[in-house]
Amino acid sequence: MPERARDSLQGHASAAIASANLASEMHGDATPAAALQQAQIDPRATIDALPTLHWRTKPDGVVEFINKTWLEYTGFSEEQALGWGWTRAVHPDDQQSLGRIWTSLLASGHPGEAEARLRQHDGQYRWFLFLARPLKGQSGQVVAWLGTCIDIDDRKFAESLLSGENRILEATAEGAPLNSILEQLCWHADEFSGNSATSVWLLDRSDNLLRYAASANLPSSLLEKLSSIAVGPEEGACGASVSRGETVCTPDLSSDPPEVPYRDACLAHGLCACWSTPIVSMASGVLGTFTAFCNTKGNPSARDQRVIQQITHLASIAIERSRTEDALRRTRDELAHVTRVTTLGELAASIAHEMNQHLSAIGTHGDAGLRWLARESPAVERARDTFKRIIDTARRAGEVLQRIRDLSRKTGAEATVIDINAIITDSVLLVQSELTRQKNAIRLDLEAELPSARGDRVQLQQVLINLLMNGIEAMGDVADRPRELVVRSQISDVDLIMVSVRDSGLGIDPVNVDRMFKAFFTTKRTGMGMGLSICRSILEAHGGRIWAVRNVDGPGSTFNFVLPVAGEAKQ
Amino acid sequence: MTNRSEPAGGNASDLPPVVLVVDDDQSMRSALENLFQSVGLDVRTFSSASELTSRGLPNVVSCLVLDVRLPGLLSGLDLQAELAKTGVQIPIILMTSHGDIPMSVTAMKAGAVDFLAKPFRDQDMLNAVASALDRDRKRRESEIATKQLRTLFESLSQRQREIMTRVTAGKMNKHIAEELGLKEITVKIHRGHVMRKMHAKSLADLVRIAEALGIGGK
Repeated sequence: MPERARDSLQGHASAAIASANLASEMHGDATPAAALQQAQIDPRATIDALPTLHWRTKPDGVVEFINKTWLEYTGFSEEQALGWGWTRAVHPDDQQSLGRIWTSLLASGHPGEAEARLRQHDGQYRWFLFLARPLKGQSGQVVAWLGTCIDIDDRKFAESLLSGENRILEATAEGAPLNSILEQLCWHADEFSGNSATSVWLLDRSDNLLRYAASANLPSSLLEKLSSIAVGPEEGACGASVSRGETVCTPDLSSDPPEVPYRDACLAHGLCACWSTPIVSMASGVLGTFTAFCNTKGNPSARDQRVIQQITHLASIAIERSRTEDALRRTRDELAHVTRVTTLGELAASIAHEMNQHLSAIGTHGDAGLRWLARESPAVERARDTFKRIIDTARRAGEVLQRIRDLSRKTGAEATVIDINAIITDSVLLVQSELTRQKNAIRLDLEAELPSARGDRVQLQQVLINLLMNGIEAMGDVADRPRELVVRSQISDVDLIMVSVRDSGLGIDPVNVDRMFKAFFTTKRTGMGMGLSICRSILEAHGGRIWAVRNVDGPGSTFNFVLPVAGEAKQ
Repeated sequence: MTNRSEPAGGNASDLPPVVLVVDDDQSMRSALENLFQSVGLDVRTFSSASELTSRGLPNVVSCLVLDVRLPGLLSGLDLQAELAKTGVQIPIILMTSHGDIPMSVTAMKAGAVDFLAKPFRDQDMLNAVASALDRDRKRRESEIATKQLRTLFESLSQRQREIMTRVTAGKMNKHIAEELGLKEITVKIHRGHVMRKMHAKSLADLVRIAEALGIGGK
């Protein structure tokens, strides 16, 4: 590969120079040799002693001088570097781009620059900025090219560190799952080191064990044996870094005692050093550890340390953020649960009525069944039919209980594919008794072709029940017109499902339109003012929106909400 | 709404009695239907008050078993009031889930025969229905008897009616003759016709008939 690239680089350059020389001869310019003599004024010793890399080429790009600093950096001899030999020190990945730029400079005769990696004598590559400037004769023709290579590796390193940091911070801000962020971090770290497989382990405070969280390149066969690592000063670098709260490095894993859980497995995979740095947050102390397993023995370089410092810092931000969000989600779920139970309390009379109906029916059927059998010639068929009716009624009573149990269950939100129309019908069933008691009529206008949504069935049912109950309450004082609730589902825009609950009540006061979805806002004599605020937070968590309008074509108001259509599953 | 006060049409009273059940809950309708059928009663069920009023009441001995809490515009109590307003005198047994006291007071004042809280004992319900049907039967019988008396009364001449009214009010023939400007003997003759035409065996009998017809008076 390098050979071919060098050949092509040389080929391009020679062709360009040939045409340039032809042009200068045609214009009758002075001979290149004369100008060359003028240019060779700098004492070679000075140039050799400069701390930067310098070179000079003939007009055709063939290197005829290269300074000592260059030779010392690459470890090349002068013979190896002159001509086109120097190109062997250019990183294979950069040869083509560097060749293209150099060729165009030679052809144009303009100064220019390029970035490429040069191999140091120890085999390490560093980024350099190549600056080239043509030396021109009196008549303006190029007599030589002078060049300098400036080491920009530290700047490049900082740049890529920064861009990696930005990428990860973005992912964190967008709420990407913690595992995927930590995996990106490991991938980022592995990229820099080139000879290590990094991993993140989170501290489980309940049992003081480190649990595997993420890695990009750790062999899965190794991870299978390492689900958790104990914490303690004698537990190897990983466990010790957490217990000591500082970086612990084992430059040679074979020196670790055999009890260290990952020692043998790592050695078997050719990983022979282990560096571990605790991930610490200001607020919560040690969260876990960032551990690199390296395939060469030794301690981290200064640059490795910088990478590790950055990664552990980013990891702590991501972990803290994710934990805060989890806590927030839990709080929201709990609040939703509490308000759900409150709503059930409001519905208690209605629910009791419904259950009583079913239980009375079962009792009455039982009485009837006994009477059928007590006849002079027992009516067995009718008794059998009675049993069936009892079973049927008991099943319906069970369904009522199931609906209530679903609403009162205390679990976190669960996203599943859901049929909004089914949620509407279920919710209406739950408030049916209340509707009857308050002499409200209800009309459902449901879009038959409604696409599925994605979300938590119970929470969305809670939203609907809340809106229905609000509607019933809004019509409580209405005496001069029918009290009717209309629930409608429809497709709004292309990828939104819209649900409206319309009442014929008093209508909302325009000044409250925006305030009503805030917590503790209420116009009711009783109530905490949490209902609509919970509805809003539930919908926002579902990527939806809720709003209310005063009806323009009649009395009352309409509460609308939209939810995104379930697309391809996001996660 | 069918007017149950219309002429009985001969043998209506001989038809089996019917229990009319109005409850919005399907379980309850089914259960009550089953219970009444198990004791050999005819049953018709309705899911709302408006369904009952639109299908009409049968012209046989019947009673209404009604849930106070019905959906739609007419609750059980409303239906009771509505029936009373249109002069329908069907006995009503109201059911409630809560044993709601103000509601039961209202219902009883408005003439409900009975008031049962769900869940009820089957025997209580059957007793309530039996006595309601009995009451309806008696009412219908007395209605029919009154109707027959009225026909008889209408067969009397104007003069005979005037005399019957005065006789049953306890007036002497002499006074009646004076009032009407007749001879006493004429009054006596009319009075004999009245007794015969009204199938009255005695003066006391005639007074009872007059009372049933709501005539006479003090």
